[in-house]
Amino acid sequence: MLRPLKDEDALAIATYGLRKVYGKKIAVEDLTISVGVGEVFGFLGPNGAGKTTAIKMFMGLVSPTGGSALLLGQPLGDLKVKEHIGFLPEQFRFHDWLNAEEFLHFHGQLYGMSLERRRQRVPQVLEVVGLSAQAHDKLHTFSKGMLQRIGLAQALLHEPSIVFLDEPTSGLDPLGRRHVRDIIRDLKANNVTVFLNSHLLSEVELVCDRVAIINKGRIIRAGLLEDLLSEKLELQLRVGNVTPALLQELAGFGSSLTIETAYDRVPVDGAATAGRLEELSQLCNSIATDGTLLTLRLENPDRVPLIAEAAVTNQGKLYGLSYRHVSLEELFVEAVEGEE
Amino acid sequence: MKAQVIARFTFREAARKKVLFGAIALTVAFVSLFGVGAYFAFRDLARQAPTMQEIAASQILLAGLYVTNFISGLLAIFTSVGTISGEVAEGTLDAIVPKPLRRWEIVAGKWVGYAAMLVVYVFVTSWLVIGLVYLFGDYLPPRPWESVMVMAFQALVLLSLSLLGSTFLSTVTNGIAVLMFYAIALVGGMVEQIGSLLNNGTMENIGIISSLIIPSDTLWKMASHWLQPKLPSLTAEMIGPFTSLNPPSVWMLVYAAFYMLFAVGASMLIFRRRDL
Repeated sequence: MLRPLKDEDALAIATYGLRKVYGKKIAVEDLTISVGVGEVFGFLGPNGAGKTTAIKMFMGLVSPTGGSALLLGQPLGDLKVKEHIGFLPEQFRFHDWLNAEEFLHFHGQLYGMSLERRRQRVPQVLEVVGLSAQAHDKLHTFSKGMLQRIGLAQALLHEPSIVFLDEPTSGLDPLGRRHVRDIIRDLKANNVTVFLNSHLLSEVELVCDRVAIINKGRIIRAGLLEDLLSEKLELQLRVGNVTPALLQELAGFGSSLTIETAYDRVPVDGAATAGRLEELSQLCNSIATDGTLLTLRLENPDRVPLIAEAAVTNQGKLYGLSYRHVSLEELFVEAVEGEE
Repeated sequence: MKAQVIARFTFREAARKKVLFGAIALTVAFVSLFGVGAYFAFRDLARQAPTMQEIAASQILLAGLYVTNFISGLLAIFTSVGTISGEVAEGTLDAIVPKPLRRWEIVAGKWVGYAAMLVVYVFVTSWLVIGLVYLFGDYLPPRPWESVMVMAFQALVLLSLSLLGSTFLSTVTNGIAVLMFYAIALVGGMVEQIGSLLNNGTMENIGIISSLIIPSDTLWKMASHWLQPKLPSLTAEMIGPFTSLNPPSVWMLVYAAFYMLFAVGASMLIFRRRDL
């Protein structure tokens, strides 16, 4: 076990080369991440990337093959730390012969909560997840979404310091998802660390401070969500009188340039031949009367004025220019496909 | 201690299982039929000599408790057969294992919960049978408490074996495996008894080996021995087919205790290392 560094006191989760191998299959190859106290951390990856295995290692459901991890500064499995951890499993299957209140009292007992505290907290969490009216209903009468809510309630019952949520909104309708987002924001406001494993990237984008993308058991991108999303811009120009020289110059600015015609998005390669560029410029001008939409991927927003200038100096008619940051979904797809 | 929470929960869970309802329904039917049978049997036996009455009463009692013992064995197997593997497959343990408790506490809690249910079942049913024989036949075996305790012990041994299998086998595979072990014990016990009657050493050895593989039948033989009448000279005909003239060594009790402890300990060890 690696000795914790001094500044790790502020870390809720820290892993060092965490690894899990099943026979010849590597589920998690080398997981090194750190999550600060009070952060909402998004853990993303395609199916089979190793997300759930990683969470299972944190939760003591699976033993790591190698590496180490600390939760609240203590090694995995520490009982004192477990008292401060809440977990909503991906497969939220519970003892459905219990009613909602009995279920929460049972889990409260497992957390070591006194009867008095349980009597106080059970109605509170039922209200938080919107199940107060179903307190005495048996879990086998619950819908998938309701089971996910009661699972969330058991994860929050003991007012944990870290909450691991494995696909917390997979069974919920849009209103339910918004509700869970609000709960996550409340947790963050109370300095609770949230480790969120989700396929719903739009959800992650709305609530997470930092994200890590895992593929084939390794982290391929990680960082502050804001930084990752601002790394790349998508610039859209509506230009009339597209010339081969303009196309060539624009292609040199960004990582990719595409021409959006009425039928398709045509990529323009920076190394395209003069003949090909001539052909593409004719295509642009033959179908667009108010300018053709050209989309450029940029890594540096400082280049936007230069691009506008290039459009004008190459006899282009600049009808419009707008830019936006790429979405998390685009970043995710790019990162994962780049690995393939 | 969190094991207590699991134990109470398991007892509640076991008490609502369909297999228990089935066993209770069958037990009620069995005890009712046994009571009616005992009533008429003892009415006819009233004209017999006291010694004959005592022998007949002990045989009726042995038959009743043999069935009780058999049902409790099946109950021990079928209620606990999927206690770990079933919950792993369903995913219900995913929300329990991360709680602040050791994995061995889950195993211990489950064992205690099922054990409590089985002990209640064995004591209630056995004393109903003993009570009916006493009521209609005025017969009380020499050491009823010890017999019932050993019968309960037999159920606990089977429970421990079933729990052990449940930590690494699927529910169906475990059910088949433990049931086969139980059958081996029953058949092995019969082979040993026949071997004893025929004075055949090989058959007796087969019985001994089977009782080492699984000591459930040996425990029944011990329990049933304490149910036999205290007569100066007993023969195989007098005691009937449900018991044996020669009781197993008391060391078999010690062996069975170690067997049970080993099974529970191994369950804890295997489950501690198992990836869920």
